[in-house]
Amino acid sequence: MRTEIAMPSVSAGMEAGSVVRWLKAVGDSVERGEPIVTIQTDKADLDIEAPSSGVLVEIVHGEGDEVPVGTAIAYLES
Amino acid sequence: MTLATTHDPAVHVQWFRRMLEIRAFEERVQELFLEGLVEGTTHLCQGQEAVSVGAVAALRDDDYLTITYRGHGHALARGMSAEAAFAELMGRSTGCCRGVGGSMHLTDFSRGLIGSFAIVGAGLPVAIGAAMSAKLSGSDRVAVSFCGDGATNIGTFHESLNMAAVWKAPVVFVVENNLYGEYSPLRDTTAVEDIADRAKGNGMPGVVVDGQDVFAVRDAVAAAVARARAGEGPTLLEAKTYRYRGHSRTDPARYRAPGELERWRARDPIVLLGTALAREGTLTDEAQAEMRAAVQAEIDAASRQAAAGPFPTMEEITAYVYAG
Repeated sequence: MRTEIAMPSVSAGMEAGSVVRWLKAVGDSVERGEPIVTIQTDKADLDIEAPSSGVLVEIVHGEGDEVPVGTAIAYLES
Repeated sequence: MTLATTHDPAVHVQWFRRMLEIRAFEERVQELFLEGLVEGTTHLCQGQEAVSVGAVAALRDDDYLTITYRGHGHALARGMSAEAAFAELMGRSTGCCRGVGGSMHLTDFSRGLIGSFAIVGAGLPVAIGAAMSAKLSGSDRVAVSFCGDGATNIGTFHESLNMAAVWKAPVVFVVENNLYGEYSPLRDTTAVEDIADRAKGNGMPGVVVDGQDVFAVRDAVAAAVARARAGEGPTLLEAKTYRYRGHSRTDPARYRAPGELERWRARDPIVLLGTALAREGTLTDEAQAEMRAAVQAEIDAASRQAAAGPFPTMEEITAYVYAG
């Protein structure tokens, strides 16, 4: 099952965040809850955790990209 | 949950299940928050489950509780349904406060949850009021006030303790010391290491409790409650505990010393109880794994059900603002 990982909304009124650093690469296995990417919001840098266990199959936005909240940044295959 | 004794293994299993429920609930709240489904902010209590479950285990159904904005665990421990709590966080009219309170205000008078306070320290005077209502009406109900370590530097904390002692109010003050007030470590803000040391200056016994041990919490609260019911007045309990997550969801908690989180995770309250239950043969590892999966399924269903609930209408909202 292909699961989308989207730029999350971490504060009221947040419209976009940036991808700071990918902690996992395409092809890596991830466990549910494991941090996979660091994003930057206006408040803080935050690690986003894998919503389910699986393999990271696609990275849509690379480091430095600014992404609107709700847009896909990667896909997991579980 | 009303308990007469701690020696019934079936009751210990109930505590285990409830702690699993709280943990799974908090983890799901995090996910929902990132999906934009939780309105406002949220403060999670993973790591602190033994304090709410252990304390509630020592109370009667007709006792009163005031809790803080980090109160999901206490509300669930007291029997609020996960669905009503999820719905409240998501601002739905099926929530325990019809969706107008949110995460920081989980309230249910039918369960003695008479207030959940976002203002630090605000719950203590309210608990004294409830306790005095019981005392003046001749009942032996007690009130328990939960607050954090940060609240013990608030003026209201000291005023409340003093007043409760002078009036011999049947109240128990439970301080959940998780070592941080927002992003500030205790040692930077607080003149004592043991909050319980503040009891003597305010005229009551102060007791330090291992907040990760549900039996220790239960026994300490039970003793304090017995004092209060017997008319001997208030007690200050300090539960040493720890929150795994940041202060609120936007806080990644990078202010922690390396290794601190891991040290506390090694004393995870659910693992401590689970190990004891397996050792005594009360609940095998396999049964615990099954229970964990069953609880997760219930939490999944409750969050889905809550997310399908309606938002309050404008007519509903104004009904709670104006009298008549």
